[in-house]
Amino acid sequence: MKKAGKPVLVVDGRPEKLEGRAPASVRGLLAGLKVSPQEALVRVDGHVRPDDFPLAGARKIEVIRVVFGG
Amino acid sequence: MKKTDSSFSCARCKDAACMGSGERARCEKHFKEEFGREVRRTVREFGMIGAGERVAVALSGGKDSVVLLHQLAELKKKLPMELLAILVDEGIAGYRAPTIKVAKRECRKLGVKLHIVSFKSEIGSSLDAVLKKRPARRHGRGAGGHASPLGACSFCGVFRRLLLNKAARRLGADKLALGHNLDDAAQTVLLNLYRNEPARLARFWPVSVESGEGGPARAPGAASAARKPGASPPDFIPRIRPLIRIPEREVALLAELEGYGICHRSCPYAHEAMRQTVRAQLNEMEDRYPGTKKRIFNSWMAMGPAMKKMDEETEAGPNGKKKQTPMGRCSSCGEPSSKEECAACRMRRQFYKHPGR
Repeated sequence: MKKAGKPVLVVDGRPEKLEGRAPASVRGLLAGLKVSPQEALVRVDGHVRPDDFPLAGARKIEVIRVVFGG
Repeated sequence: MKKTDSSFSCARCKDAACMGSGERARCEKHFKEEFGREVRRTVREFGMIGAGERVAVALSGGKDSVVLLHQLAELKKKLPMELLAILVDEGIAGYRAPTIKVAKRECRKLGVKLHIVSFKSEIGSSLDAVLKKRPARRHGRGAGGHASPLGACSFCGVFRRLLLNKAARRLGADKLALGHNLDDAAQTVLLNLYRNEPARLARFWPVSVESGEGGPARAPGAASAARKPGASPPDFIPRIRPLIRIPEREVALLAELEGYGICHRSCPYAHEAMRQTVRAQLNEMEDRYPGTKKRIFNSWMAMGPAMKKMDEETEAGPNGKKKQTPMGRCSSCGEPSSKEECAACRMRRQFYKHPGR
């Protein structure tokens, strides 16, 4: 079976490169991006998912940094 | 929604979760249901809205106020009320215009009349114009630094509150609904502690009825103090905060799930506010110790009535500073003020005395 490639990562509407190994979970991804889970929502293959959601097999991950305050 | 791994499925229906984990995991449907229930519970518990009242929503076009507008429009189906929205255009280039677009679109969708007031028309200058003329800001009070006499957020906050109150009064509103959420409340509690402002803290409450911020004047569960038909509106329009129990992240999640099309763009002056530091601290605490914000809120709710009582009984105020007088009128402009001269008039005088500094 063909091994799944790295997922496409989009941060605030802009494509980003995933460095190193693909993160295991939403929380790990945000830690790598240095974004607090309190300040972002993550869509995995089009659906908003909780912090501990596993990213294995995901094709597209969108990170939406929601502006708090301002 | 498709069924999924049980660790990431809704604790209510086993559909795929969009938030939380374990017992707190919720799918989209149950998250939205519980969100609405929490808003209704808060409105009911604090007697925020009486039947038939005219409620003005302070709408900025950001996620909090847009979610609040939709929640109140939903509540209107069960609790008859008249809804309108007020937007204050401070005049911040590149920031306010997109949010005005969102506000107009959402009001049109819901059939809510939107009233726009601007700094330029009401006080003569946009925020950008005022801030261009202020002296260069140096941070910190030590090592030769000093706090600027005119911080962007202080100026903006004072005039925004003034304009909202004036517009709400002019439009005959009984209540002014603000989109403050749980994070805002926890930050306010900490900020007032950091700044040694217990009197201010004592007046901050989900319903503000009598002064700059109000205070726990009405016990939870009490009925709304609805204005009698035909009675003249009070100077200070009571402020209500129906989202006060909901974490900011959940407000953002609802806005995202509902597709409100919010512009996630930061105010260019936001970095100047001490609140940003407190926000970062609290977010870090919440990551490490989930539930921190809620516990701060609950502590504040438990302490509020006692602090209010202490504030009323202590001559000099609990922090040793001169105590603020009960709500009166500003000697210069006649607007409601707890001091002889309101903050807006003091700021105007400070700025126009040295407009070119």
